[in-house]
Amino acid sequence: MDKFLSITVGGFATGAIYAVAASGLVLTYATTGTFNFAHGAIGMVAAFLYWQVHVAWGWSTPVSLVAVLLVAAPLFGVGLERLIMRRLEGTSETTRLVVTISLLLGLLGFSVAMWAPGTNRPMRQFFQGNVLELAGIRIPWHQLVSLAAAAAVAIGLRLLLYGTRRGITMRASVDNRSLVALNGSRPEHSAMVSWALGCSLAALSGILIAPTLTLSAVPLTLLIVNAYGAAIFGRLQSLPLTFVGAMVIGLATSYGIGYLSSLPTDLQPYARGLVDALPAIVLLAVVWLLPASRLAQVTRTREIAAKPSWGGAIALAVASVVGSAMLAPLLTTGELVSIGRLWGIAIVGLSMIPVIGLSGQLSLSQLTFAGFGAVAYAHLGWANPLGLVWAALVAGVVAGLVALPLVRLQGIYVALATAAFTVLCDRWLFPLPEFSIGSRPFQFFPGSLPVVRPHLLGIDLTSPTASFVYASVVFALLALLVVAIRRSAFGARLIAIKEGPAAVATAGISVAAVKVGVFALSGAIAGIGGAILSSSSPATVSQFDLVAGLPILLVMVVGGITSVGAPVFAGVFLGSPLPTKLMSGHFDLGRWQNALIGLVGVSVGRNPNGVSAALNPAGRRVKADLPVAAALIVALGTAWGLRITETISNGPYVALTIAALVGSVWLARRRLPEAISLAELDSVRGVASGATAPMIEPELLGLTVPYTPEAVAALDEALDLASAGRRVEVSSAGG
Amino acid sequence: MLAVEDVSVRFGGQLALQDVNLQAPVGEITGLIGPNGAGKTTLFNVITGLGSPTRGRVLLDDRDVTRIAPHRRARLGLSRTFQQLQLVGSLSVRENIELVVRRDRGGESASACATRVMDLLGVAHLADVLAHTIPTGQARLVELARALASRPRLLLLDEPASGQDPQETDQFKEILRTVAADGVGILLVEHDVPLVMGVCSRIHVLDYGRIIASGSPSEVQSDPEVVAAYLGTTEVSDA
Repeated sequence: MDKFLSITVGGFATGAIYAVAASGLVLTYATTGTFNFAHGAIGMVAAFLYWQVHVAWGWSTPVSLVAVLLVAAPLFGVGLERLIMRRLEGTSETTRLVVTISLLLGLLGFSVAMWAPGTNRPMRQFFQGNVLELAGIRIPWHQLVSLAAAAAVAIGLRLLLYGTRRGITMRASVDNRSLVALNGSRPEHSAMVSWALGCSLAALSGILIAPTLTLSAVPLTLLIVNAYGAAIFGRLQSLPLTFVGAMVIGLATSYGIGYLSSLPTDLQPYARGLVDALPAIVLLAVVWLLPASRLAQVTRTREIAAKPSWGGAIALAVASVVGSAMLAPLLTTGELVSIGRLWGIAIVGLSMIPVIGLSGQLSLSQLTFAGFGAVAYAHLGWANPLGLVWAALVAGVVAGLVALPLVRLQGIYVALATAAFTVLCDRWLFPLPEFSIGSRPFQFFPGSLPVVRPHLLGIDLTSPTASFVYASVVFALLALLVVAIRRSAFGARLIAIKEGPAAVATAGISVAAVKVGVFALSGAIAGIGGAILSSSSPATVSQFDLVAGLPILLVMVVGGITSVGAPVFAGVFLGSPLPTKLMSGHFDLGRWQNALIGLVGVSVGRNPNGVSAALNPAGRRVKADLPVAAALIVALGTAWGLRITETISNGPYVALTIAALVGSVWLARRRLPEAISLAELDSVRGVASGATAPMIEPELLGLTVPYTPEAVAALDEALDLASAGRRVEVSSAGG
Repeated sequence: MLAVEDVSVRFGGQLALQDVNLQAPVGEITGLIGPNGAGKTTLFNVITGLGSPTRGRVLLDDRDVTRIAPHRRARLGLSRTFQQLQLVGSLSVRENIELVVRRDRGGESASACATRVMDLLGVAHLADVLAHTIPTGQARLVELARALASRPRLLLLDEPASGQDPQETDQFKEILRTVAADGVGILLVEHDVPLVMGVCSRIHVLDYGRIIASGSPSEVQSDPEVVAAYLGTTEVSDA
């Protein structure tokens, strides 16, 4: 009984910390519409900062608390709002979520760079050693402090939101920012206040929870992810329900941990992961019980999913295979092993295009589906391409099943539910010890998966060189498949359910069927990616966890999530040691790599269509200019020839290759004057040839665009006004 | 034949629709007019399944479709356009239209069907233009083309003429007549009173969520409650 009571009190105390974290999350979401995935990471960094000033520098407790909670955290929040969040208006939910994911990764990278892992950093509890004896149980003061903090936060927020003018403006900003501005308030001030407050609350929860486990970046970041379940419990709106949810999760985990040892010893290993995954299970349960989202209507967006051309897709596919075939012989076996993951990662990135890029379903489970593919492939052990088909089938079915309960939901809820599924898999399902299915023993990951090197029609592809090229062929074929999907009727439906679900539903298309279909399809592609990953090196559980999957999504979005070029970026950046090599050559930039990737990610708000969209015109210029394109191919071939005959070493080879690429773009630009090439390539009408920019923006004519009769005529033609005749006269008179 | 029976919708304490009854027969154009906020779009949402009524039924050819998902109603022959344009911006006009062509209806291919409706509405020259770049008046026609491509028996049009110039409105009137003559029932919500009076055989007037008058254009025009609530004396004499 005493045990039950003290576990209960402990549960409430943990719940109180989750409640503080979750209320900060709900506050920023409700007032700014941005779900801050980095909320936990902010709390984590705050905990480290608190350790730094309090323990390392010896500042007193009150001073340290003021420095972190009332100075550093709010300042960070204000900076965040001014520099990043404010620029995200008019971007999609995907972009906004990815920006906060980048922030998470950036903060994670920052903390690892600042506070090297592996060092023991003891965090003392508040009033450590003091306990309150009550009804026969001993309650540490730290738990009382947590409960008091939660109560203070609850009362404070209630007073702020309902009792002050600022609070009322904040609540109004959610519904209509411009209306609030028209009525004389400044919505950006409200946003700044809520980001500042949200960061302080994250910091408070981080500082409270850090002493209950070791001060370590990843677990701390993810522990506060548990608070997301509570926030969803309150449907991201209601603070009282959020508190209830936090208590439910706090108690559930507390009982789980407390009574785990009461289970029979042989069952404990099976249940342990389940306890870790409890908040994720609560989150999934709540999401499944949520009422269906209303079908959204079209809103204006800065993001346009360009239609890829077959020419570009084939060029990419050929370049991938030829590039791999040229590169592989130049590398030593050791180097090949270290870049062996390139194409596997690229395929997982590719799998995000249909589901996230085209249909706008924020699946954070793609790497988990890859994990299922890897397990299926390795356990079956077929080295021929049929093994890949099997991996696709298994992962596709899993993904389809995951999608079933999600079809009623949209946006952030899909992201959170898939994140919860991923956490459930990487904390419980994948690490499960051996169990039996029927009479056959089975274990998802027996340590690491056996490597099954590919084999094709009797040809042995087991050498690292051959399997690297084989992987590039698989990638190239899948990239063509993705382009084919985009160009098909199904692809049009995918884009339609992203941009205007209400319109397609009332036109007779089942949004639910399309969603399940795209999840299954993307899951199948990811499954092949997982199989390719496990065919190059022994795969382990941690390679498929939530934190491993986020950078792939990030690089995909930075590269342009609807473009088949982006997965190559993802593969090169995340599946090869290239970035570390490039950076570590000069000074110790390697340890800042993650922080840098995060920084790049938060910049996507500026160009939500990604790098590929920006590079696309350059590529098209080169392609349109035959002599330059031919010269480029000759130059690349020559450089390779020099390297393979060992005339030159790696350094000059890389330099020559880059020089050839950059030089060809420069030459093509020189030879085709900007104005003509724009008109030729994008064809001023904004024809659906993959043009990403709308024609000339009418309101800018005469301001940033020269007011020439040609431009006006082009505009008239595009608007179909030329036939009316009168506009042309006006324009020539004006010009 | 579309029939709405005793439909009420309550948003919190607000009664948005109250015991609304109306019919829209096949082959005719039925008007639904009323001041802003009268509940016209709410009624459209209830009919197409984007919203559900607190009470009442929606019948399509005597079949109760009140609890059926929007896409299934569409497959039963119900199609609509939106007051706020709902074209898929990243797709071309042709792709927007081909999107909804039902292959199981047999006959022509998706592209043939798209070509036919684009010709009918005079937007064929926009076929390959991305939908987010075309001006509103034309976009309304494209949305109507898309609605027609799903071969509806009943077509709900939510302010289809807003954003059109007078010349376009005249063409539009002809298009509506052609479509109705083809055996399609049209329920038309429109603020352009001359347009409504000119093409509708019956008109329902909605005010504060209630139908306050139903009848032929001339009956509605002379109804004192309508005059008081909506049209205003000068507008009646204009029309």
